Amino acid sequence: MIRLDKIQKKYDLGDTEVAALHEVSFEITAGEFVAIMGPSGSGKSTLMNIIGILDNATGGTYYLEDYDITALPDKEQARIRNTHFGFIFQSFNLFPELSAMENVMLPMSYAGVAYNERKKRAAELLDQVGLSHRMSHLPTMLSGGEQQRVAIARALSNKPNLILADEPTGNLPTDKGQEVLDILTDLHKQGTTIVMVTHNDAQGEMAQRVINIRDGLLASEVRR
Amino acid sequence: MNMKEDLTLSVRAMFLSPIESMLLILGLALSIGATASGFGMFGKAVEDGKQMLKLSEFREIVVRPKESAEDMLQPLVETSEDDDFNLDFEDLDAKSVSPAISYSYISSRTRLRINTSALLERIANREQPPEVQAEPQTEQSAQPTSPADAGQAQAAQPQQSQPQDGRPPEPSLEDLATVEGPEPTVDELAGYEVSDEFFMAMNINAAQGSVFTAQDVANGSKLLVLGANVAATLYEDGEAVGRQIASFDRIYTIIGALEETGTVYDDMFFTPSELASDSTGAQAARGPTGGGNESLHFSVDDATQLESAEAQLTSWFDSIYGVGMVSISVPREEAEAIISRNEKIAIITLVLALAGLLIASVNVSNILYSRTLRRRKQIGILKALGATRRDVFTMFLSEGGLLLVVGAVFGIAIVLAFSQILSSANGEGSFNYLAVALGVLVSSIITLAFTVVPALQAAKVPPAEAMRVE
Repeated sequence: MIRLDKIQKKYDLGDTEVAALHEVSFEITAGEFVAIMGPSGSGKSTLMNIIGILDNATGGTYYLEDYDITALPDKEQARIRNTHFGFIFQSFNLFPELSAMENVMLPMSYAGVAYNERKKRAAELLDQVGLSHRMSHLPTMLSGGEQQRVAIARALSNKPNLILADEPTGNLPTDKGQEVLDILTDLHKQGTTIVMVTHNDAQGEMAQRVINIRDGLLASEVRR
Repeated sequence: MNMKEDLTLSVRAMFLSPIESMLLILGLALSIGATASGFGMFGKAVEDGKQMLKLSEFREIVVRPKESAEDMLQPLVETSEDDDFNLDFEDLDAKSVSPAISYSYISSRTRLRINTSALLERIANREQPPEVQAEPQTEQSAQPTSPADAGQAQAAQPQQSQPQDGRPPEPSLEDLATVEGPEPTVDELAGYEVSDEFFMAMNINAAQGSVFTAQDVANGSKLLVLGANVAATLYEDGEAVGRQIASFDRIYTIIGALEETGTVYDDMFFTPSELASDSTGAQAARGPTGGGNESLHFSVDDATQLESAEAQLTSWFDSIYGVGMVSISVPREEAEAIISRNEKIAIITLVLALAGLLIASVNVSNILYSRTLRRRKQIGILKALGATRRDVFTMFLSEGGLLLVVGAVFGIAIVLAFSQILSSANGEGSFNYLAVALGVLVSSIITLAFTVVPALQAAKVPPAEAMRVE
């Protein structure tokens, strides 16, 4: 599904260049559950940004379904983020001005889904994550676990092929974190591809494959 | 509301920082209001100027004897040195010096005292010796309880005073003419003694009856033509044409009422100039109205020919009366100076208002930019969820646009308030509303242009901002 070929990322800091990624190459096949692990500053966040086309690589090639998407125009990149990927963030990143329902509806509006359709689908998704009684609540009125479940519903709104989860349990107590992981495991069982960044070894063991990043290099790869 | 969720987000964000939004709206409202008012005033000044120059008065050259023209400026001692000379009717022949001049007339201000019963009564009382005067006055103050008696007293009094025959400098009762019919509502009228071409030069027609002719002027007929307002109010029944008015020893016949002009002429009467009838007799007859303020008017069809006609008239009058003995003026030049001054004041007001608008727009731009900085992460998240640069640009421009629309609504309210204040001072219609609309449009476009910059900045925020952890 995704193939990274010698991906490089260098940051230009005036007179010096800092390389965050050195020619990283690997592949993610459809239906996989991949964990990316590594200490802070290892480059795992940079790699996550590049996989999610939130950032562009400075070298190498990115293939999505065998198409080279390394240098697409903004509009195309936005469309891929919108319809192919679903993002789950460590700090939930819901919009505090919008209700749970409206937060879930938002990505669908960029996909051009009609208002009534968005509303119907958002209600279904919130029901799936067990929040049918919380639809019109603002995020500030929800607990952390509930907020992350809204965020998962939002990530699923455009039926993505790939879920990109960046430390999804990082801001949650263990039991709430487990609920979130259970939802992700269920999604994986239903056939969704999942890439999750974590530095929790126990969570890494849930994945079929663990990619370890050290100093911008792919250090090891463990398959189960 | 079936808005796209990102716009809902914008609108709610604005309500969540109400003070900031209110200040922005206030600034926009004041500057849009001021700019639109500036446009309105300028439009009005131009419109009024055009309207004013269309008046027949501003296609005239006015000739006056020098001393009467300079009465206001010169000390009395100096003006009295001049020998007593007045322009006369023959001077209208100067019309022939320029083919551009189509009409010429003589005009002087005058008043008409009407021999009302109240006036007759006053004179009758004055003519009685003081000791006798005391008695009828007490009688009179007692009498008006019954109207019939009061009428009798008024009728009786002229007879009482007749034997007195004191010959005071003022006219005595027997010199005063009287007429039949209803009594006018006023005892004095202001007006002009003019010659017949006045009506053609001013392009005023009779709405009722007719105006007087050259023949009437030459005969010295005692005729009156009334301005529209005078004609309507002189008698309680509103009928004036055909009636007669007595003034001192003369009886005037009202032969016409003029159409409404919207100028002072509506409140004036017009009577054939006595200067025109025959110059020897007229000079003597002019006593009560007071002469010497007459002016000659030469009217041109095409305003561009005023200057050449003025030069020709000047040389004509100089050759007859000597250089500098008459004053020749062109009211249009003075009017144009005033109009140009008004337009310049309006332009300065407009420039000041635009300066205010610029400051307000820069402020809007600044605050929107600082919002962009505060919302970098939010923009990143929007982009991660699928927003294109254009989506983000549109969203931020809509925020500016929303502030602008609310500001413009309040701005229009300010324009209306200004218009109220001005019309209580200047009369109706202080603004040209087409120009006000143009002003709102122009100031909105300027403000919107200033919101483009922060919107572009917002559109450039990279999506990776979404991943930043605070």
